[in-house]
Amino acid sequence: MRDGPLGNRLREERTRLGLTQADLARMVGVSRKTINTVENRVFIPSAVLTLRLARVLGVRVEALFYLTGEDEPEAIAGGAP
Amino acid sequence: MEQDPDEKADRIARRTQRILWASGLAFLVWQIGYFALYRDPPPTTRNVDKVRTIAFLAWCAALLLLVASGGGAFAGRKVRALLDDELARARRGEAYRNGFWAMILIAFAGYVAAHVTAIGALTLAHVGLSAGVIVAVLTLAHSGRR
Repeated sequence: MRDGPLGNRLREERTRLGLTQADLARMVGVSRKTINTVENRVFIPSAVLTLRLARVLGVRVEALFYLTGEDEPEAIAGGAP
Repeated sequence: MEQDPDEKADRIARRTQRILWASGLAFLVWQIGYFALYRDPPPTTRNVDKVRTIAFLAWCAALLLLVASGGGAFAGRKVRALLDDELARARRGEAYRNGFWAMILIAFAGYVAAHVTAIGALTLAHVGLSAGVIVAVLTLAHSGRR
């Protein structure tokens, strides 16, 4: 529930596909608030939700989520899930 | 026209958060007033005291139901599922955890205090229950702002 060591590129990938938070929330079966808190790094999602998000956005999990200060998301971005 | 489950869940979540703040703070004020007026709980033989006891227990139960359900106890299945997603469960878990620690601290302090002063079991149970409920409710209300 806190701003942890998990960064993400959820907002970038979502806007790239022209989706709103509500659209993405509907696609993965969670509330809009959940997407909002994940994007803002308030909430660390479960492995199940990270896999669902990656599948829906058409990217690898490692491209969507990364450990802050360790992995550079640009270096591993892209590729099908 | 039927409302979209996402919008309905969003609306219920916002309304529940407002209710949690208002009812949690009102409950807190009531309990402060209660203990300011009655250092020791009054005897429960009078009807007015029985009504007060029933009101206290009913309010506790209502607040705990609100925490457990997220305010969507009477909503449809899809709306209930959205109000019980993993963020909601994590926040509820945090509320339960803080409520648990509040009750443990009250029990701990009460146990120590009972060795140096007279504390009735009813008083200790009342304070412990109140603290657990208030902390859980306000924790959930606060976490909804993030």
